[in-house]
Amino acid sequence: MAAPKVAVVGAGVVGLSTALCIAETCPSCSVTVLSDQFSPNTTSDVAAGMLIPHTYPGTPIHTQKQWFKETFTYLFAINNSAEASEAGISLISGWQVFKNTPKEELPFWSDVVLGFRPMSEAELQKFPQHQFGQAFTTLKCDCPPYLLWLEKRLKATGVQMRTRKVANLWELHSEYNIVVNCAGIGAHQLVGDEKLFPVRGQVLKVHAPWVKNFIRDGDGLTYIYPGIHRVTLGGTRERDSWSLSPDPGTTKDILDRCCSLEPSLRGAEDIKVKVGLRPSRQCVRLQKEVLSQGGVKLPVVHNYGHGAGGFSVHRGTAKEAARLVGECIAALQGSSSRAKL
Amino acid sequence: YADRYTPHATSDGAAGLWQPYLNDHGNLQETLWNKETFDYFLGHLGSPAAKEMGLFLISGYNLFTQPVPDPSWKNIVLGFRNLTPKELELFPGYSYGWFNTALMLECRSYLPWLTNRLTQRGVKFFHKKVESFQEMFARGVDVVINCTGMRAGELQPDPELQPGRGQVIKVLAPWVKHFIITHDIKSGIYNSPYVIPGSEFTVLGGIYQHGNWSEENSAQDHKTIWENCCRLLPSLQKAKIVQEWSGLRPARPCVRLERETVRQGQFQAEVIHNSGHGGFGITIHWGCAMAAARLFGSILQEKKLASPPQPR
Repeated sequence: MAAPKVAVVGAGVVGLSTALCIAETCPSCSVTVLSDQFSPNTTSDVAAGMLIPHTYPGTPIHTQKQWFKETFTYLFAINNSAEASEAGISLISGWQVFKNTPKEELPFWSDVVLGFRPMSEAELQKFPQHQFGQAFTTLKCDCPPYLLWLEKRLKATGVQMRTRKVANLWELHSEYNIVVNCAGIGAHQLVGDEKLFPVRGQVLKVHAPWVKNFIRDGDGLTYIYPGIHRVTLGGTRERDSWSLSPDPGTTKDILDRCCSLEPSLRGAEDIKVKVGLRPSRQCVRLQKEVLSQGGVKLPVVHNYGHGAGGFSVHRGTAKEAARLVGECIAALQGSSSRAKL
Repeated sequence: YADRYTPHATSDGAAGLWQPYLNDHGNLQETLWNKETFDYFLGHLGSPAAKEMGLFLISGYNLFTQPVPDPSWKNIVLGFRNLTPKELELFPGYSYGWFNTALMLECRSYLPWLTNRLTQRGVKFFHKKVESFQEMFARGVDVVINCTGMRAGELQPDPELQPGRGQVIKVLAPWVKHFIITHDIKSGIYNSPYVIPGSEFTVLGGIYQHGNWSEENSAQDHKTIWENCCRLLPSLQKAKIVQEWSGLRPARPCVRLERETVRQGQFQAEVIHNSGHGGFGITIHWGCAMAAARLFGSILQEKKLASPPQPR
């Protein structure tokens, strides 16, 4: 077949990075990104973009570690180049503190991040309510810059981007040979995935440029993530809440919790409140499917359900999705040559 | 009394990072003063004044081309450790290094904050160049505390005091969150590139010229700093240059912190010297200030004993 036409649905970090991986591995493909939202209005734009993995109960740990490692290595190289600031990538050190010593003292990703070690007694004195902690250095992707940088790279490789609300994947079958579903929380409606559920997160993005280290409570609820221009303060984990409206009581609660970890945040200015719905699932749905109607087939590659861990594994899952797209193309080319016989 | 105040003092040119030199040359007293300073400000991190003082925590890297012994301050800072091989991949050309968390105290905020506190306590400020100790005594001053830094030699010759000229480029690079200080044992302290992010600007440096009194910015030094720092941290190529500055570190083999009785004709009065802090003024200042205050306390004690109690 001549240039396979691939549609990627979704323009968050997963959609854009998947489109880029497809364009990189299949230069003959014609790739189009379709989304009703682009940066700065995607779920990814709300996230802090910290490379600290979320553990998916339904995915083998070695796979998650592979995804994280690929993502970390990819961003590490950008961080060390002149493009770092345009791409919104920064290196950041800090602490994860626990009120009670966790059962698992070494997370699976401890040897992927840099300099991972337990905190010293002196370091823990800064956190009188916490008994145990881990210090390490990791990477952060600021959005919108990272998404805008991905869009720029996509345009440079000839990938088209179109604002379009896709109601169902089948509607694309006449224009495209393969569809890649990176719709995030949108997949709930788009493909009717009942296993996908929102976990609502409210965050504050504040001006506090003297905060140079991240601080995260091991319970995952309270965190301080300094970005290039703003510090993200969080957060909440409200399962099954679909509300995108900021809640003022929550704002005050987040500020209080963060100030108890870092008192100087009382001086934070220009507080902006944002809400995002983490597209959560027991495991990331990363698999092929063939839709068919009346003898017509449409290969689909799903890559959604990254929940709280999208940034941490985005490149790894994008590469796997691109590989699956390659398999779809091979299958299509195989069947089209059989059709010619 | 001073002829230069913030933001035109030597202190204002410093990035504000707490870090002593690598080698204390057996000067244990200075190490104690450094520790006193660090501990004092560490304790103030959580206070509401921290932001106004320009005080915050910062982590970062010290880089070497060969293994070196641990510094005298390894147990003063937080989380001191050697760099892992993966971390060294961040810095091609360097094969050994340290990571630790230390403090920043930015003088652009700290000096005005101190000024406010002094003013609240009734301290008077005079914008005036003092030409001699005698000039002070003639005004009826009993004790002079000499904190004249680089120009202490003008008040009293001090052949051990020499300028350690430095030049820095201030840039906007808010994505840099760590300090990075490289060391070249051959070229000496601060003659190797360093990058120190502040609350607004990032300071790029790496110049130390012993004996050079020029406070003019040098184009050659600019080139050295810029090229070396961009090689160290390629992302700096996109940083916007905001300001260039040069100043003279008041370098001495050791800090001059001592009492002296100065006589001239009928005048006799006490001078407490507190100068010659080189490139580690911020690092050591609180310990030295306390020591100077103790010397002042002894002077007061002596004066009390010398003058008999007044009859009621």
